[in-house]
Amino acid sequence: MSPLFHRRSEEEKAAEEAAAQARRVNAARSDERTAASLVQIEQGHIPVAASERLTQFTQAGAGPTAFSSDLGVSEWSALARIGITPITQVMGSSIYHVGWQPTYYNVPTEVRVLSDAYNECRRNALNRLLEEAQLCGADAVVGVRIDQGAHDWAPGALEFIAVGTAVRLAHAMRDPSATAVLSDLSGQEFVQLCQAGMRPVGIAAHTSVHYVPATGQTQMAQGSFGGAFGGPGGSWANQELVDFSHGVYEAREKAMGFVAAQVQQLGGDGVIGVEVREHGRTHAVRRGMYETKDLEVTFHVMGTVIREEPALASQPAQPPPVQILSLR
Amino acid sequence: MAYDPTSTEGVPEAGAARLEQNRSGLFTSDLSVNEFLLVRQAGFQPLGLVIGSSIYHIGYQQAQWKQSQEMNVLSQAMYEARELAMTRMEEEAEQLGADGIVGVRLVIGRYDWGESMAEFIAMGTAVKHRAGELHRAPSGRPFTSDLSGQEFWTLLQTGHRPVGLVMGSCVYHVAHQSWRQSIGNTGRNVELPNFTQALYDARELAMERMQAEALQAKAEGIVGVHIEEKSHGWGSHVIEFFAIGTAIIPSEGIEDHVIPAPQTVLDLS
Repeated sequence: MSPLFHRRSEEEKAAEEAAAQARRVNAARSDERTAASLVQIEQGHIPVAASERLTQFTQAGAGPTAFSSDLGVSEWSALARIGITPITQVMGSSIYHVGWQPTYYNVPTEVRVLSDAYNECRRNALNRLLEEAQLCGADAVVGVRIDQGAHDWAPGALEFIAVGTAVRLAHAMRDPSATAVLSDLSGQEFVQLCQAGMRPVGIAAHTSVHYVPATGQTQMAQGSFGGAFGGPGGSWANQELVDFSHGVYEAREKAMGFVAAQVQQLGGDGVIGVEVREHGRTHAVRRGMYETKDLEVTFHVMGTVIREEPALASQPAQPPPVQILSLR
Repeated sequence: MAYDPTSTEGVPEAGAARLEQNRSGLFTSDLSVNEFLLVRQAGFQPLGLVIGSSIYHIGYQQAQWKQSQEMNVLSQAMYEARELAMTRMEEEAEQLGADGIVGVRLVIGRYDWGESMAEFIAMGTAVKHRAGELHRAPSGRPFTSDLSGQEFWTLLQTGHRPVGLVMGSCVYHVAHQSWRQSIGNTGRNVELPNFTQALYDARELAMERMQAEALQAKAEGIVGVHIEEKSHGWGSHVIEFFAIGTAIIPSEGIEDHVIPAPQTVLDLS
């Protein structure tokens, strides 16, 4: 008989009612979880699902779990040889909306809205990465990559994504003071550094954005005053644009200064692998009769903080390097 | 720009504090782990990341349509701006009491601000020999080199040391072909001798200037020369030839140095 004309029995009705009830409960629970996740994210933490997955790694009765990692084979074997075992791949991400800022300034200024947005967004992402690592009981995260994302559905927003592999260190290598150490070093580099008696203690990063209005000299060079001084294409004479050079220096010093402060906070002796990314762009600004081109310069600095710990060094000491000639 | 060991030109107030920090022991460096370990193995201690920067307005020069010629104003601009950046970097290294700078990169940043403006950046890691061996250039300035940490280590193993980054630049206008020439070439395989000649001239000028710098630095030779041919947005027919390399001299006191034979390795990956 066609189900359309089927008269449902009492048992079938009860079963359907129970299923609908279960669906409602599930939907309510999923709504609750979404709401709870949003609250977590607003407080700078990670969503509920992620924390549930990660805590499984530390629960005693959970039974054996498979590890996940983005380590390459040789990277994994280099780590395994000295007793570093991967737990799981961890991530931290943050999408950040940049607030309103004046379109131009008349004196050299740091554009705090932009600087703060970059730094806050990166800090959020790294803190979430750290939180994930701590939840799964990791001693360190190796191979951290920090990428900047961009989406067409969120124009003008910043995104930082930090991805790495949470690992458990051999007992002798654990840092008694720190909870979990972030490091953008590959597994091989991590091992080599430890064997040379140095411990990576974290990542230091800072961004600073500076705005430099063009001074009279620069305006003249740019040809803002029209033909009388330099022709439409600007001055014919070679010259340094001193104000702009100075602005780049200011931005750089800000960023490097904050990185140095972070190193001291982490108790490090220095930073290696410093990556400097710089970007400049001009703003056309109309001031009175003349149009000038002002400079906005963005300076990103990031590096791995290390601390000397001679006790970590491999015994006997590493032999000096051997020169090889690869036949590849 | 004259070199002045006491100058901190360009370094703003915040920079003085940073250099002070570097002097008191905190170091920053863009060396990778392997480079860092090898530089230490060679007996050097990284002191700090040093940067020189200059934003420069490049002047203008009219080229003759039918004449191959060096664009003096542009050549001079490229030279002077690089020199400004390099000298500022060296002065920063001097402030740190460094013996020299390894891994120097020269970058020209051209953004959306048009062909007449460019940013010249020189960046590297200032290092100092732990045992206080002499490693400065004969001129007394810190040595500079674009060698990586690995190359630096290997060079020292050969009984040589870097003295300075030497460069030569030539911005050249390549003459247009005459109408008669281009008609004459139609449908034929033929060399374009005036173009070949122009590119030769430009490259020779750049190489010659680099060699002159090496001679001035009393170098034995230049390793790792790169030649770049680039049009920095000056339109067609105007190109820059840029040659850069590290000038080296034999290390003192090891005249009979034998270069160790390398082990050969067959990489199975």
